[in-house]
Amino acid sequence: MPIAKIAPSVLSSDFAQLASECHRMIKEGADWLHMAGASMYTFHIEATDKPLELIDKIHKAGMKAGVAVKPNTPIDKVYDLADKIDMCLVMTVEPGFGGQKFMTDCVPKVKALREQFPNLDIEVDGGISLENIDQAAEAGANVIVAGTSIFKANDPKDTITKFREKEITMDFDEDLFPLRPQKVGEEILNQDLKAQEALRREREEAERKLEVWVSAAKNEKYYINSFRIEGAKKTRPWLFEAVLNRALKAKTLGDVIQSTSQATSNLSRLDIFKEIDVLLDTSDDPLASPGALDVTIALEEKNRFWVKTGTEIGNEAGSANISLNIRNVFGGAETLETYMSAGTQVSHVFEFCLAKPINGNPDSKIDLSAFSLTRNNQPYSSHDEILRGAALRWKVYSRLGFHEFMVGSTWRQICNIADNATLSIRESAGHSLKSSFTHVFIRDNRDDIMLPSRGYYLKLSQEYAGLGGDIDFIKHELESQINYNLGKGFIFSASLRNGLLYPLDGKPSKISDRFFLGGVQSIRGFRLNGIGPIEDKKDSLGGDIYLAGGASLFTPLPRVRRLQLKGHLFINGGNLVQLHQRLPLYDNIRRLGTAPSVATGFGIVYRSSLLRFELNFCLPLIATTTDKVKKGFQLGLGFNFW
Amino acid sequence: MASEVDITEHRNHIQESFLRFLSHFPLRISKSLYKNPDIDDPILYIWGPGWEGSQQKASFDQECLQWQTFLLFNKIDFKVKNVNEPLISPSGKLPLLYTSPGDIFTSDKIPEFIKNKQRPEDDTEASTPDPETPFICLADTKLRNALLFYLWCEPANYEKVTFHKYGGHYPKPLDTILMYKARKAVIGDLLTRKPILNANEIYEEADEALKAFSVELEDSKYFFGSRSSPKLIDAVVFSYIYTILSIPVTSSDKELHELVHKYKNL
Repeated sequence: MPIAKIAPSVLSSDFAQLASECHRMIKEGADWLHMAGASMYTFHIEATDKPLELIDKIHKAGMKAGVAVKPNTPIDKVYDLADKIDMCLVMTVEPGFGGQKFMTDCVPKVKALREQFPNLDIEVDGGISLENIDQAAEAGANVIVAGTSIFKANDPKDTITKFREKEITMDFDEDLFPLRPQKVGEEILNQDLKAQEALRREREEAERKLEVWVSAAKNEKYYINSFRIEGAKKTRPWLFEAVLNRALKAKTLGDVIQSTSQATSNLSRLDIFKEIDVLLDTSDDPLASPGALDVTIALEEKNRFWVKTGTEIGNEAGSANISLNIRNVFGGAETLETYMSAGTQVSHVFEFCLAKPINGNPDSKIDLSAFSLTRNNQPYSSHDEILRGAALRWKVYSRLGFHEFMVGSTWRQICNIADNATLSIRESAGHSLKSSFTHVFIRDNRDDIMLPSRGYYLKLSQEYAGLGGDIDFIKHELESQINYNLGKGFIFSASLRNGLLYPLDGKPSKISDRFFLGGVQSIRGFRLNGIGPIEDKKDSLGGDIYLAGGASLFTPLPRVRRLQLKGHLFINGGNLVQLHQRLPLYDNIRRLGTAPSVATGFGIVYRSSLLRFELNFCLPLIATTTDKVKKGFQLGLGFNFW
Repeated sequence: MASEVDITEHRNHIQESFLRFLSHFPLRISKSLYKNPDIDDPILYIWGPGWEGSQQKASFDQECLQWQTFLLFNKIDFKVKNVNEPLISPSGKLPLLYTSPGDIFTSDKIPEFIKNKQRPEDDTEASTPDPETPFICLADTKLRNALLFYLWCEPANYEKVTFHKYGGHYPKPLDTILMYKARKAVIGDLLTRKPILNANEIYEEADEALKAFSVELEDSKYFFGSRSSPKLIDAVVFSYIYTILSIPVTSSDKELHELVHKYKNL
């Protein structure tokens, strides 16, 4: 007997209405609750000129692709795409109007399509009822959008049974349960991140709706009798046990659905499976008590090896990188990454990192890394720095935000001192070994990293060095930003940063540990690291205490509303000083106020999909005798601007 | 024509007033809290302090001591800094003489620095053939081989003396790594001059060299007796002998020490 399946849209439908209906459907004869990790993204063929690219994008975003054809569009338009898509939706009414009648002249289109592609899922939508379902089914449709016909029927049980007899899968009417946007069209092509954002939004939406549903049906007694995993070859059973453990304790339908869905989401976020399908089925175990459910998780593992290449630009430097990755190394969702990068400022990087989620939880990972990198600091402080080290990190998301705990050792080497380097830089040459414990906390609720329009960012890091080696200090740094959307395209943004490096052994700090200030991404109107202790107007030495702040007003520009291009007015400033061990800390901090560096200016900001671009006209207001000021135009490319 | 001139003049005018406007910025310049270090005398970066029981200001490293002595011989005012970090020098070797940013002299450039410092009338002597060159060469091969072998290849000396002097200030385990590399470099250097490192042979050659120096010196204060002031060769031989005699004697491996003691006039 064919199965009445509640199709993928369940998770993303309007659960407020659907909840009771779904529950009733299970009670009254639906055998399956079908939940999928990935959603289907259906677009209208008429809405785009480049359907193939769009399908590709949708697949890359981890979703299934569907193509919808309006009644007046000839069906042969989809012939070229049919083997690329997962479903074709033949509209049997004009979209946008409720209560229309089934257009019989669409039936030949279904028939023609079925003759060409016997295995394609063909869905019909609009005005379907028990009276005309035969017509559609005979022509070859195998999925119908079950709207009013089911939910408004006098006897849903009977309707479901009848549909089942016709070997038809039911999907839900999206007019009844307004879903994700049907028309994606060109937008997805233009915006690289749009598809992923849509997926994220959809998931959040689904989770929210699921909660509503769960609360409606939470008291019905159900429990999970058994789990079956299909398609796991390399993944070890303990991983599934760890992830699904909570679901096994569920006692009500609400709990079962929520915990299973959570488990599925966790599994998919481990990034080792291509596709995860979860089926909840009433148990066929004769010994099971009433309310027993069998859960089948069908999945496909992703390829074990993958390679990524990319480029990065920022802080007046560019680099190209490649990473070789092995997924699911030991079958417990471990990843092994070997990363290499070469660039202008960081001459080369080699990093090797083995990461492992704790108990299959994608939000709590432990990793072990070893790295070697050469930093070219010649342009602003006439030396190179070679860093080699190893670290053990634990990264975890808590309710407050992201935490990283790290313990590690780094061997730093200040070398290749330029011939014309100043005395202090020359004397800082040498080796040092730092062993430290670091805690980093990040809370970021901005709507965008590069050009946010609302939300705030807070990063706190504390480091204690002195676990071995010859470096002994405590270091604190705070970085914060807040953004307000003032409406009509105006955005106000303010930032505040400070840092303190306090040596515990009475010796002066090393240049590798110090803070640097200045540059288009730090304080505009000054050259890169051009604020603070600078020797002979040439070499930046870095400082131990700093305070920096800025305020920006982003304005809309006429005629370019659609582009991410904005006008920019700013004022920013700060100070960076060396710590005098003889003075009390309070006096040291007070020295920050004595000779600050401040600049103002205006310019334009453009946020492309890859990076933020700034062109400013800078006017330094206050500077010190040693500052490297940048008057006039200053150009900036990068991700992170303050 | 006239109008064109007007336009260029006009443009220049705008440009000028724009530049004048810019020259007002920064509106206020405050005095920086950072003070550049004062450099009066040149600084000689060396390995130091000296060996226990000897002059603390004299470097324990032969090459550093040689140039330190030579600068003193030439009556040049300089300060000595014990950095114990060869990375400070572009050649990766100490000593390094620093006068100002951009003016640095590795050991092979120091004679040049001295020549520039001295009065021009001394210049005439530079052109005459130098009798000291073959002697310096002799010291820098035979005596250096013996000294390097003595410090870096005699296990007791390396572990008890050399390791602590050259690598003792690094944190563990960097000291082991860096000293392993340094030792490898020294042995590599030795092997370029001697394909087989045989202790007896190396010390015998040093003995011959010392004998040659002893004969040349006779009873005069400096080499090539006619001169009243010391030259580079004096600094070279002094640095070798002083270093060898200053190295603390370990129970075994004291051959070189005894070797030098034979020549009382040195």
